[in-house]
This record gives sequence, structure tokens and C-alpha cells, in this order.
Amino acid sequence: MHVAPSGADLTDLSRMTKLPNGVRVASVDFPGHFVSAAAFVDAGTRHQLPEEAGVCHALDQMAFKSTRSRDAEAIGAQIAAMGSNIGANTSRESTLFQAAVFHKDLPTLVQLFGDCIRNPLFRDDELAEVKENMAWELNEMQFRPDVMLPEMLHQVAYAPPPSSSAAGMATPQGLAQSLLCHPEAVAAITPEMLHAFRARWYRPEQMVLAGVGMPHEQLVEQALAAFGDLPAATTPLPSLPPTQYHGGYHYVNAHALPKNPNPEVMPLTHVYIGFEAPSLNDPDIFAVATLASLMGGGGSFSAGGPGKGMYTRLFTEVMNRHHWIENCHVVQFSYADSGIFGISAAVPPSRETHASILPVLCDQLVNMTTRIGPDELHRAKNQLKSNILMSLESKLVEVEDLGRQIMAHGRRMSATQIGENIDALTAEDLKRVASRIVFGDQRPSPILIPGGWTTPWTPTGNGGPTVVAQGYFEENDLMLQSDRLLAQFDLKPQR
Amino acid sequence: MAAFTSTVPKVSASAPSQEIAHPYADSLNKVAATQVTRLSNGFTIATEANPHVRTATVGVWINAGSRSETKETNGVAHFLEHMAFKGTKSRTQTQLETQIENMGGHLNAYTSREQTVYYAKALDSDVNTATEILSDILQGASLNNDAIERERGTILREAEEVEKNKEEVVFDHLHATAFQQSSLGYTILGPQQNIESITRKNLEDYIKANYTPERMVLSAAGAVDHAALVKKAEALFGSLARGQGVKAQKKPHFFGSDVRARYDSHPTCHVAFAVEGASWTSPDYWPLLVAQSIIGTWDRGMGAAGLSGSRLAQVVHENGLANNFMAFNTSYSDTGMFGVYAVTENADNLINLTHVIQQEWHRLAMNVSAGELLRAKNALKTSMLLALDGTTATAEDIGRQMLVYGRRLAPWEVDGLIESVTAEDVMRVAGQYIYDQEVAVVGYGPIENLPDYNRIRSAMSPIYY
Repeated sequence: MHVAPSGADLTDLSRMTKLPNGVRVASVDFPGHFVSAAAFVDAGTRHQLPEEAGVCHALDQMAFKSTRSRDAEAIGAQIAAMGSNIGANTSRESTLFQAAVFHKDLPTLVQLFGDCIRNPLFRDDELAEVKENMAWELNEMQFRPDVMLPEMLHQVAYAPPPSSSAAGMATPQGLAQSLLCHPEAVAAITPEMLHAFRARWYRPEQMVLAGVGMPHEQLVEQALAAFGDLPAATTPLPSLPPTQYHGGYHYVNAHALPKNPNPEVMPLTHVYIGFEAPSLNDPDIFAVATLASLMGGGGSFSAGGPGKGMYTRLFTEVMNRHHWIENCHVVQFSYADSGIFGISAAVPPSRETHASILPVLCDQLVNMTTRIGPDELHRAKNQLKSNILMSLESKLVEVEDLGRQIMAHGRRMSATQIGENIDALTAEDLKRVASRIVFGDQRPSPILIPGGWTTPWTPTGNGGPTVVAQGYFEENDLMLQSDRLLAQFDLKPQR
Repeated sequence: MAAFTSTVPKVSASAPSQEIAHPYADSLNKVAATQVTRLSNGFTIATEANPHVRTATVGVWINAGSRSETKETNGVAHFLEHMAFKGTKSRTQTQLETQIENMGGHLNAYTSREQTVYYAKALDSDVNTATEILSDILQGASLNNDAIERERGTILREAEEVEKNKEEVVFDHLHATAFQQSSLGYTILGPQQNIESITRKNLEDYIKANYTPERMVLSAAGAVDHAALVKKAEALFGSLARGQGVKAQKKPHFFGSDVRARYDSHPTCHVAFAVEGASWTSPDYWPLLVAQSIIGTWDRGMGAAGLSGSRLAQVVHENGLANNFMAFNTSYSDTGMFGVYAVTENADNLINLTHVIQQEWHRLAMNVSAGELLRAKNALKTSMLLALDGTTATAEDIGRQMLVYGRRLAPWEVDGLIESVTAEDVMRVAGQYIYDQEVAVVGYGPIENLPDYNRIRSAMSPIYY
């Protein structure tokens, strides 16, 4: 077994070991009365082929079903015996099996991860039941614009526009693939599709086992028992389709959607404006996160006292000045090779609000390229740092952070170093990164992150906006002409 | 009171280690002990330090809530919680807000029926400042008349939000009907006419009567130093004059009764059934908690995956009787409420839903299997011990336990108390608290088919052959 260089400058208390077959094991010992552990597979919806929509969602729903060694009932009983604090979920870039258990259950848990990841049967009857639930859940989701619109935003941002495809709307692939497939796609999912996806991506070098609260040697030993005999991959990893940001405009008229059965839900018009942003690997990632912290936002009615970001810009300059706006939030997504940054808002539907909201949002997008005050910068940095540190109080969050960093960067940067990288940022850095985002500024980041943790991002698209809106639009609604309005603010394809 | 802990042996560290560096029992013992100091005026400081985090939660837990109010002042505890963030004699509202926001901290508060809580989250370097701010908002709130007038609108808006949350509406009705002659039946927000009329004097009187040192606990977890916090607390709270303590309250009578809010246009029925439960310190608290966990919680989105243990979930799922349900066991200082809350769009089948819930209650008195007991205990350990995953959850656990037990239960004690509950204990409490006992019922929505009260009440004492 070869022990990867610990890179003491970057790892703080966490340690990593690479098993001979390529599985990486990372842990941090942190005392307390329970432990957390997570198994990651570097495979998410962006790894699905266009015809595999819904497969990842089905895979996480099938995560703890029958395996070659035992049936779902036995697995369920074991999970219940460990306290049922266990779950699986898929994001665009990875699949995560995660749990918090008492120390005594750690060997059982790692074994369970191994069994469920390596030996699933995907029995027809179990898949049928999962599909039924998925269909019901997806049906409920259509009344959740907060869930659906970010998916639509990705689709418009990363799928070729309909006109460039001979057969109408191209089937989304890569980052355009939705986390939630269309309810109709659920019916087409077969056990063979799940097996095929696994065969392509569930390879030892794509896996990370992370743990918080145990000695490193112990987790390595358990990882060897559960994953050590997995043969190393002999074929090259399949390639992903190249990411290309397209951007564009997409409007959904809510008049044509089914009515929300809950009469208490106020009808609203929702709009998202986003741009391609530096990737997770770019040296500007801390500037992007700090900019998001500075913009902030929130709702017109929210519980909680000071600390919820009531002096962030989208509060002081949007919510506090325009009382007709229901909510306004910064939008930030970061991936290995691209990202999306922007603003979302919701307003009561009317001709006036539809016409007025876009200039408010465009103003904010343009202003962040020219004006970053010292007080708000200081506050944004403190809020970002404290948010990170407060999240890391949780072992479930810490294990997820550890695993994700290992997957994305091959090693972990400590919270202290993340804090230092945030502290080093200037107002110029934030304006520059804002300009890279909204005006397609081509200058790469001049920031140097110690230890070569980052690689510069190359924009994949033309720098133009992505606008997605869902609402109650009438004829000649100005919201439906947002391209013209955005162009007046010079928010348009730059290259 | 001590009955609930006295028989629990400290878990032996030499329990069989399953070839693992932190054997279970040992790891439960290894948690930093909660340090407790009581000042001469009765003000208590309780902390659990965790040197591995760089942030902390610090807060004041007060033994007072809407139950401490009168009919005329119902809503004042909650109103006061709002006013705490509206400025003090030494800080304007803006100064208070920017100070917290600029340091990346959080300030929050909530009011329940028996407790009021103000807490802050902050970086290690700001714990002292956060404590000083808590002291300031508790002792120096300016209670400015203009701010009071402005706040009425905000609270009425909050009341509208509560009204949209049918679960809260149902539990408010449930308290109102079951504890109808007690202040425990009051809502936390209070009626609209009180929100519109509460005066500065009401607020001041409430503070004087209730925010007294012997009823307060400064609880902190995470990056905190006990000695330093005690010193700070001594300076900030040490001169507070001792009050009268909590007035001995008459144990409220539990009224078998019902509330029916029928709205045929509402898409779902929200129903709750409850019997009188146990107080925090009753020896029956733990068996009832296990009984609640056996009945369990289920949501249609969980599908069959949620069925592994709960028998009620199986019946409800197979017959499509509900969208979701949850068993609850709410405790107060001298009484409690044990029951089931369910939401269903299958309004035609409310009779069957009611029947299967009552049937499950009675089954608990007769037949509890070893398997479901184990599952229920594990689920409880998860919710009580694995949920202590952060400084806020920990500070909350400390604060609440200090108020209700006068001390903090260590994880191994909680584990032992859950472990010691037997199937016989569960059957005994189910028999004692459920069979032929008064039942409170609430229905909201299209509830035409919710059985009439006498039918539900008579089903509390079935005759078995």
C-alpha cells in the first residue's frame, strides 16, 4: 500500500491513503460519541448519456436494496439497528452514501457501503416500486419552482439552443442533464440501464471513502476489507462530453401549468438571470464565493434575527427598497470545469412587476463589477468564513467536505487556509471576478493559491446571459422581451 | 425528580471492544463533561467545550414561556422576544444588527410554552462579545413605544404564516382544547387583540416577573472556556436580583374534547389524536418515548422504505390512508401529550385512519415485539444522540436539560435510560395512559368523515375476546 504524500501544508488533521486498486481513503480524527463516514463515487447526472436521464436518481433510490449477498429486508434491518441515520444522494458530479453512527457500528457501516456499492442486484420488483415513488415525487416537484427552475437554468445554460438541433430541443447531456428527470422518462428506466451506468463509472479510482472521528489506520483497514479486493480498472475511463456554455432565454407560462393544489401558496413569477462563472478549480473560486456572500439576499418575510444576511446587498439595495419583491437571492453553482453565477427573484405576477424586476436585477449585476465597498467586503468575508466554520461543526458536513475536496482536488485544504485565501481578497478581486462573470472579461485570475490546489478555468461559452422565468405572463409582457432589456445593460454574448 | 436517573449504571469502559479503537461504551463516556457553575443569585452557567471546532453557540435559556402569561397578556413572552432585537439602551437596532452581521455571527430567539431562548452563534474570538450582547438585549432592551407599534404588524404577519402551517394550527387547537382551563392551552403568539394591544408596561412587568437569575441558564457549546465564561457571566448577570422562582403551578386538567375546523375546499385533512402524557421528570417519560418511537413517523415519499419497522406505517401505506403521519410525545413540567398527527387527502377514509391509529394504540398495551422495540430504541438514540451534531444542537440540549432536570444527562446516561425500557414497560404505560383515557381530537380541512367524538372516545376502551 502506498501512502500518498500527506501535504502537511494543506491537510490540517486529515490524512489520506490510496489503496493499491486506486480507492482513496481519507479521514480526520475528531473525538466525540459518534462517527460519520461517507463513500463517494465520482459519477453524477453529468456522467449520464443523453438516453440515461433519471438513472442516477434511480440509483440513489435503489442504494440500499437487495444485493448479491442479502435481500433488502436484511439490509433495512441492519440500517435500523444502526439508527437509520444513513442516506444516499446524487448531484451533478458525484454520488454520495453518507451516515453518522456510533463507533461500534463503523465496521458494519463500511461493509454495508461496500456491499451496496459493489453488489446491487437491481431487482425488477424493487425498481418498479422505486419508480412509482420517483414518479410521485417528480409530480410533486412541478409545484416547486425553487427546485425546478435551477434545473431549467442548467438546461438552458448548457444545452445547445433548439434552433441548432435538427430535431428540435436537443436531449440534454453533461451539466445540462437534470437532477430530476421528466416524469415520462421514469417509465423507461430498466435494471440494465443501472448496471450499464455502474459498469462505466463505479471503478475503484473513482471512489473515495471518507471518515470523521476514527483513527486513520482503522478506516483504512475497514476500507481494505470492504473495497480492497475490487480489481483495479484496466480500461481507460470513458470520456465526458465537452462542456459548452450556450446561455439563452426560456420562459414558462404558468397559465399552462397545473394549478397548485395547496390554496395557501401565493402565485408568484420567478426569474433567474445567470452567467457562466469560474469553475471550482479556478483560483478565483474564493472570490466567487465571497462575491456570493456579499450579494446574499433573502425573503420579504423570514424568521430569525441578525445574522441572516440582512446587510447583504440584495437585502439593502433590493428587498429594502422595493417592497413588492417577494424574495431575491444570489445564485451560485460550481463544477469541475464551469459554473453559474447570477441572481434570482420572485414577484407577485403583474405587468408592472414583470417590467420592473429585470432592471433592478440588471443594475445589481452591473454594479458588482464597479462598486465593492470596504465595509461590505469585510462583512462578506467574515460571514463566509463563519459559515464554513459553523457548517464544519457537524461531522456529517465535515465528512462530506473532506470527501468532496479529495474528489475535486485530490487533497484537502483546511478551513484555516480557506480562511486565509478569503482574507487575502481585495475589492479589486471581487470586481474583476464580477467582470469575468457578467461581461466575459477574458483576463485570467492573477491569484496564486499555495500548493497548486487550483487550475485556471477557461470559459466554455460566449459569456452571454441565461434567463429562465416562470410566471403568469400576458400578451406583450415585458418579461418575455428580457433579451432586449439585458442588452441595454450590455448583458449579452461578449465573444 | 431523580427517579429517572438513579438506576442507570455508568457504562463500563471494559465492555467487549469489537476490535475497534473506540469501543461503543467507551466513546459514550469520552465526551467532554458538561461543566456547571451556579452564581450566588442562582444564575447558572453550563458549558460543553469542544476544542476541535472554532465556533460556538452561547445562549440564555429561561424557564418562562406563554404558560407564564395570563389571558389578558397572552402573547407578551413572544412579543418581548421580538423586541429584543429592536435596540437597547446602549445600542440602536442598526448598531446591534451590524455588529452581529459584521462579525459573521447569528442572533436568534424563540418562545415555547415553558421556555424562552435567546442564543448567538459566533467565532471563538467573538464569544465574549456575543455573551455581552445577550446580556444587553435581555436586561437593557429599550422597548421604545414606536418600535412596539411597528412590531405589531410584523407579529400579525407572522401569525398569518403560522395560520398557513396546518401542523402548527392543529397543535395550537390541540393544546387549546386539551388544556382548556390552563395557560398551557394558550397559543404562543397570542390572540390578535392582544398583539394589537400589548403595552410597554406589559412587557416590563413580564421581564420583572420572569427574567430572574434563578430561572436562567447560560448554556454554551463548542469553542468556549468555562472559567472565562463564568467570569464574564458574573460581571454581566451577577448583580441581577433574585426573583420568586417559578410559581408552583396547578397541574392542568386534561380535557377529553375536540375541535373541528371544517373547510371542504382545503385539499388535505389534518387530524390529531392525543391522550395526556407524562412530564419531563416522570419515570414514565422514557417508556412513553419508546412507545412514540414504535408508532413512528412515515411519509408517502419514503414509500415502502419507511415500512421496515412501524406497523402503523404498513397499514396506512397498504390502504392508502394518509400522506404522512407522525407520533408525538410532548412533555411539560407537570404533564404531557402523547398522540398521532396525520395528513391525508383521502378524506373519505378518515374513519379507517382513526380506527387504525386507535387500534395501534391498543396493540401497544398488549403486544410489543422484541424487533420493534429494538428499532424504536435505535431510532431514539439517533434522534437524541446522533443529532447532537453541532454546537447549537448541543447548547440547546444543555439548556433544556438544565431547566427541566437541573443537570445535564451525559450521552451514556441517555443511552442507558433508553436501553433500560422493556417491552413490559411499554405495554404498561400504553395500558395506563391510553386505555379508557380521555382523548383530545382536532380535525382541520374536509373532515366531514372524521368520526364523531363519542365514537372515538368509546373506541378508547374496546372489549377484546
